[in-house]
Amino acid sequence: MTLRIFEALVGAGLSLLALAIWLWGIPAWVEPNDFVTVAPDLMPRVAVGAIGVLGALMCLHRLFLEPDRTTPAPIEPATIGLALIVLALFAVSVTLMLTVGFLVGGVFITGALTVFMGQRTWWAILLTAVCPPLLLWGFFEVLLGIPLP
Amino acid sequence: MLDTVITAFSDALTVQTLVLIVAGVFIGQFFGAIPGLSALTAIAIAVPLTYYFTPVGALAFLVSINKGGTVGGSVSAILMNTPGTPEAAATAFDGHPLAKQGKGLKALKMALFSSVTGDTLSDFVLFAVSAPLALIAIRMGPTEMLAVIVFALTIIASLVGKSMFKGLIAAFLGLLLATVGLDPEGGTSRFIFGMPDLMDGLPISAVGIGVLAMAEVLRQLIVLRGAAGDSHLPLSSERPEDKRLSWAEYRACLRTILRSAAIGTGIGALPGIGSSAAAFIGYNAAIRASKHPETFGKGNIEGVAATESANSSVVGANFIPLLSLGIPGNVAAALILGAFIVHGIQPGPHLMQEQGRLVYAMFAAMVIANGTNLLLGYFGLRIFALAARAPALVVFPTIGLVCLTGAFLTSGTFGLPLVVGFAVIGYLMRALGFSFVTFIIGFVLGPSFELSFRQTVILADGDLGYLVDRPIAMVIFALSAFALSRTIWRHVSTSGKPVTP
Repeated sequence: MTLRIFEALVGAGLSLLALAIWLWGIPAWVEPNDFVTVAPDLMPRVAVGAIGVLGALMCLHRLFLEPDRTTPAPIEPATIGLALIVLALFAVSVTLMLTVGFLVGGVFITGALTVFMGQRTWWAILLTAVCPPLLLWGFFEVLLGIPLP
Repeated sequence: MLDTVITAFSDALTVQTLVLIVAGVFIGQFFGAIPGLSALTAIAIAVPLTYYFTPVGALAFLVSINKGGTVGGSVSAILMNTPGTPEAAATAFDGHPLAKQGKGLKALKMALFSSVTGDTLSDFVLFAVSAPLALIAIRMGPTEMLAVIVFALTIIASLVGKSMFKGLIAAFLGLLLATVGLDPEGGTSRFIFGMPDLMDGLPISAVGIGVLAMAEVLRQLIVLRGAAGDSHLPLSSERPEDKRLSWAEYRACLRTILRSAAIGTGIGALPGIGSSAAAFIGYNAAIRASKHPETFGKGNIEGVAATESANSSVVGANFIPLLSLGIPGNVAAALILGAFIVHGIQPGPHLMQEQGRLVYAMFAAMVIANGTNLLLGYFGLRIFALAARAPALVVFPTIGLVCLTGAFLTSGTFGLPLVVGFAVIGYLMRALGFSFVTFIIGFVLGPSFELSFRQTVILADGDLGYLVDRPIAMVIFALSAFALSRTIWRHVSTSGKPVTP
């Protein structure tokens, strides 16, 4: 897929998303109020409307006016996969921090990301996994008295 | 006047503030030196920490990080040809060839001196201009403020990034997210999804950490995965003349430094145009003014002086619109605006009148930070050269954890998932080429925009003639319309050429 088509799809997608928020999202999530001069949903509608119109214009521009018809789209399944892995690691770490505590979650995320980055020496992984969370915990909890989860 | 200066320096010369200035400059230089990180990342992470400082200490800390970052960025640009910060990209053009010739230390010293000179000059322009500008701005009503915000958003959206559509979409997304919370007039809820934590809106620090810092960490983790650690060139050859920068060499570049400082200050005072643009424009101006333009790009030390002076002089000038109008000049200023608000201070025309002592203490802290930047930069060059090649597999996991810690400090347990969510948004914006600069500035200006709009509607009471009675606002609205039409016209007239609007 070329960059032109990819960006046209992004523009169309944004436009459809904006339309959905305009039709269903704003009525559902913005509480009405008849006793104010400017309705609470005006600013959200202005922003969503502008995004929708600009998305549609971007789509039309890429389809009919964009002269670059050869550059490939920046879609690399491997990169998307890696991004999802890192996000999953952060999600697990946040869950661990909220349920078990900062130190466990911290050791998990630094250790896991060090392995993800390519470190295979066990003592280096251990050092990177343990030292930063311990230092941060010591700095905030012990030195400054600011509680961490 | 003298009393004001003495009071400002006595407020800034407390132990806490001095420690924070030194720490801020060090952190800024350290983050700036590491490729992939920048002062912006450091500021985003540091904003939550400032909750525990005095207002003067908090602002001094953040401003010092910003100043330190511009110096640190030159280290990896010169020694590794990998700019630590985007604004240092032009520094590599001549800095790296100089390092290849064994003159890395000389180039670093020139970068440091020209950077601090440009920054100091820009600060003095800020000190001179912000109070008179605020005096003018104080006469402005909500309609004029609305016009100024519209103008700023128009300029930002049309100048930032390669695509006007993407810039505007990002700005409106920022405006949309700024509406989360309670409606400012009636107090009814908007997009809070039953979560009481969202009633006060999305915290700027969580949004900043997510979109700026954590998304960048995420990107770097993927880009640098499995990459071997970069090594850089030696600092200098054994020849003494390659290690030092003489007064004559600095003086020979002084004209270039001053020219670039003027360019950077002018650019910095306009919202949205950042240090990178200033650096490239300063560099091109130096080439045009030189009698030997062919030497640029091959190790001309004037090239280093031109870029570093220009990009550093943006830092002070960015505060001109922030302090006088409450409009951030760039993302760093937007984050610092967030810190102002956290401490109960509203930047804008009334700031000088209501918090004059604080503003002047901040000015004094800026002067002290410039001196610290010079000293730390001079004596810490070797440390920052080491930082430039710090292993990515230690740096980025640690910064990722620091981001989560910062999110917890600012918004409690609610901040942790929020920051991961905004990291996803920030990563997608980078991957799809949407400007996070317009997004953040739209998000920060959103509440002021809505408030000014509501006040204008209430004051006008349905009568459009009200606007005609506000000639200044009408002129600014006309300028906004002109700026937007010019951008659209430029887009239409070049639509046959390979330019992406």
